[in-house]
Amino acid sequence: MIVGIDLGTTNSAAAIFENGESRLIPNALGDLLTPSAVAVLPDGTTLVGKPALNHWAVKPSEAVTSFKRFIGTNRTIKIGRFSFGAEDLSAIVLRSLKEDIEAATGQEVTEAIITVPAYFNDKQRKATRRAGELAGLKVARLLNEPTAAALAFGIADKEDREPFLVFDLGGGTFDVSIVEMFDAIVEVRASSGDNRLGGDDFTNAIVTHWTEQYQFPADVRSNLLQARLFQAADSARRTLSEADTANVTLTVGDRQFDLSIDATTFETLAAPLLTRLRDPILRSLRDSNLRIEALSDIVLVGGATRMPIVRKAITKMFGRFPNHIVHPDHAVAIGAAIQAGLVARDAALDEVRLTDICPFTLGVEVTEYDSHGRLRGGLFSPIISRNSPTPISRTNSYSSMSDNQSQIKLNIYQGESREVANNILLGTMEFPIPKKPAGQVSIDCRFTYDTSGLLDVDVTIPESGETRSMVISDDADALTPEQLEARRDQLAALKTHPRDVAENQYVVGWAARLYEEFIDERREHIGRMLLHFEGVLETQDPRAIEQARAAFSASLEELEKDQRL
Amino acid sequence: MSEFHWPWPVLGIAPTDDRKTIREAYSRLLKALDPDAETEAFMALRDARDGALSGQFLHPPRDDGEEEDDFGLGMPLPEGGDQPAGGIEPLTDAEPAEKPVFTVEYSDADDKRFNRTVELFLGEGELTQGEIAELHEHLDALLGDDRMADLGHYARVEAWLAQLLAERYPRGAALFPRIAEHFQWSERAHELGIHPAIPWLFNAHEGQSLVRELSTPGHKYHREWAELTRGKPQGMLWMRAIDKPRMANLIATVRRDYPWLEQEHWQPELVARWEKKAAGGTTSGPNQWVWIIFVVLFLSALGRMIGSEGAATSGPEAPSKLAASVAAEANVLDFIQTQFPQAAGDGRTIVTLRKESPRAYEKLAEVAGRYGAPGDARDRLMTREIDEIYFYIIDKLPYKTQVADAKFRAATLKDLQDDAPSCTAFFRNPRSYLRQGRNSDALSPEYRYHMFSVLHDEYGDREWPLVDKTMTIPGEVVGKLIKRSGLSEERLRAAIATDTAPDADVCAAMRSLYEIATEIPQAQASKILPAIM
Repeated sequence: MIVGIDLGTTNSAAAIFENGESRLIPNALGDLLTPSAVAVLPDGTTLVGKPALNHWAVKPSEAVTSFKRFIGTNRTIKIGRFSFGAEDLSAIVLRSLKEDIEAATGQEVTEAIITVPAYFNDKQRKATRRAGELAGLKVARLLNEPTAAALAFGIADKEDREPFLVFDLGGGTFDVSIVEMFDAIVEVRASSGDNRLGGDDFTNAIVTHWTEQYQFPADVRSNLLQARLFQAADSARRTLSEADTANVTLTVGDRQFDLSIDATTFETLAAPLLTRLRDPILRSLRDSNLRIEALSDIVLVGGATRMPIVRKAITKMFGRFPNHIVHPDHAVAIGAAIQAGLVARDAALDEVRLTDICPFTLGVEVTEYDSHGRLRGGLFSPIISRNSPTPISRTNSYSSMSDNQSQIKLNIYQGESREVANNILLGTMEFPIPKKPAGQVSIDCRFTYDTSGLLDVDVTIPESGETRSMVISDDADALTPEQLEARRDQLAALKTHPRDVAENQYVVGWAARLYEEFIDERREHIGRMLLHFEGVLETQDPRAIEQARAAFSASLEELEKDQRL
Repeated sequence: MSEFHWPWPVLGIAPTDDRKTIREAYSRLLKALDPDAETEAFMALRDARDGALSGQFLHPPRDDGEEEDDFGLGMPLPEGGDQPAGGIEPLTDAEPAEKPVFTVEYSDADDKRFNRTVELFLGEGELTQGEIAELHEHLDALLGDDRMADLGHYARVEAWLAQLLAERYPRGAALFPRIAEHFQWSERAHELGIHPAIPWLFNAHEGQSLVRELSTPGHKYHREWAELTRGKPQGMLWMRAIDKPRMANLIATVRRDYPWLEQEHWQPELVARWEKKAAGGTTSGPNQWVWIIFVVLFLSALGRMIGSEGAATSGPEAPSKLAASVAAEANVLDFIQTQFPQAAGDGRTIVTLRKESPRAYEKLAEVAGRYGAPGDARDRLMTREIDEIYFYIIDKLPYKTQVADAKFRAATLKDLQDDAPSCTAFFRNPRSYLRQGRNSDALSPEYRYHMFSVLHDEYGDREWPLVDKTMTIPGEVVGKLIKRSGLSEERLRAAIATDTAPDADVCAAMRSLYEIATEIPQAQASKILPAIM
């Protein structure tokens, strides 16, 4: 079975296409969204989702969130005594989602459509695909998140639509796509975005503000304080969606801090972030030759678009109210499952087609001699222009620079600047060429960009008839299948709880977090309840456990509500 | 980017301007093919549809083989055809093209402001100080307007200002830096697809700065420039002082990068004469020496991309200029006092700056002069000016200064180590890294103050030759490097000597190198430092 997975910065979700429609699959806790958080206990047991978030609030050094921001980089993330790359952690989340679907449907999941931000570069896409492989999933296709949302939006009634704009502000990334629909063909005309702008940045703005405003004692373990502060700021940010002021009590160790922020202050803090929304929108409009008035709809996707300040900014920017038809948190996973249905050639989608584009310009570094014979190096020679429809394959020819040159080094870049120094280096190819006078050896460089947004580079030297394919000099990419297998085994060796234990584990973790958040009587109260519940667990009587768990959860929920007031 | 071909056979329909027919044909054919497997067919189909929708192929091409001449330009567009409705206009119209839209969008009071702005731009000659001040005031209102939150409005104002500036250049040049800063053009100028006036303006601005530099006696190319711009031939002695390869170089560089300067400033008969001479003198091709000079020239122009006023003037200072310079001085003073509170205690004040380093003072005053009031924008531009100068000269400065710099740089790389791409970007080209976005905050206040001190103490009035960037790392230093960076010798070598090593390696290697360079004896360190500055 092919599934659709939205692997988000903050939350992930999985969906399947069944009986002509796309349906989200709940996880072991019955939630449709699984927080993208992973905890690894000292004994190597992993927790994913809400339990991991709870653990993070208690022991931040043993859990991690928002790791999607580091995917495609060499950064290692330390969790306790273990070290992971962002793709390993993504693989752990994917594996957990896979198990959830298998449990819910009773079918084996082998293939997946995984969504990525449209503005993810080649390295980030390849890393995401590797994460899927590490989780034991064949990645049938990588799908751009706004495109997935557009599918979910457009397929609803299959009617023709004039160009509309998908505004996707997630936890860590911002994407804009302009899409139109004709005769059940969903066509993306242009995409743009900012890889480092999302809800987390708004939360961090509050964290910075509080850090400046309140004198937190230096002796509080800073790691713990940071994690708590972030959670408090995040909850304050959510509260501000409904109220004018958010008050949060932060308990660290035995100390309590009463933090507060009001909507006006937040608006000031967020202003610089809001201006960063402007450029990607203007660029995508420019690229699709549209005036802002020509857009038929503004579709909002991503949890961060719930913030009133973001909505206000959008309304101001476009001079109209955005559309609320799609669920901002679900649309991407729903769209991914529709794509899964398309790949599986589901009869219900017989007439539907999707065409996407390549959101950035791809090319190589060149050096040119000017009319006077002087060198001008470091220039970017585009081969595939941004917003070309995919799949696409284009060839450019280049020639040797000096007499008797014995090899050519081809630097492959992605970006929009005329000077390669401002663009992103994707990889390098070096190969020998026949020795000849300058300019007499030419090479044909073919770029192929597929529907998953992955780039292949082939170089042919017509002189010798030789052809070479790109070997990116990126460490992770050079992994052999055996190495990949070995890493998969390493990850598999990490224990996960049996599914029936997971729910109990979650409630215990929840209680542990609340225990730390309260002080005095209520803390003692939670401690007593926890002790009682653990006693019931030891009886191993399933029915008694279930009852105790329900009661315990209800009390915890009461307490948590109380705390928000 | 693709060239369109006669699209109808691919689509299987007769030439038509009916969008629906074209799109239906496309839809039918697309549904019959698998783009992943038949990429070429998909690309041809898509090109055909886009070509058909463009309205350029309603009539068959003529048979005389010159079809391309007709495409796009010659063919009349069908009435009601699908003309792209982009907000970008070509630069050719003499009238500011967005004007009608503006009149509609602005209320009466603002409309007056708008009309007055256009009027000021369209006038003749140079803008007076009073007019510049008035334009600044109008810009305050236009750019600070609430309606700028509306994207359509924002884009129109941007395009309109870019066009107005370009149309009347260099008349409004004094306002260019302010407008460029507001719309963050410097970060986007080289982006493909941006309003064509913007890169043009940057180029023009660079050219104007170059003219001013070249007109200053003492500049390497001053004599050659003066020779080409003067009215009548001079005596033989002057002729001998002119260097033929240099002259050839100047002519070629200007023609390639700033072609309009030739028309504006040079005497055609003199250019022709020197071209002949140069052709007779040096016929050799690319030549190391010439190339290096070119780099110097290019860099010095680049370094001033943002930081200078438009028009080239010489002669005694006019009274209005004097008034402006008094305001600028107050502004520089304020900048130094707020940014570098420790400077006064170290005996570095505006008075000593003017005395010790008049060039640095002038450059700062120039930037400050464009900003009537202190504020973030001014501070950012002045800081950027310091970056530009500092990183241009640091590799030519004495050992002691370089060691101090290495310490700061090691600390900066350490701060950035969690973000390997930024770390590498900063190491490879600090100036371009700091120019982007808010990156200039990456440097600590101490580093910033150090940079200012260098400007104050060392910049002076001297020539800056190019420095040999080859580096010799002694064996024992390599040992230390391996130990400190935790990299194998092979990875270390790759990190230092190639540009394909992983960012994290480069980051670790360079930080260790900077740190070690501050610890080893001068004899060893001075072989390393200039190359990594």
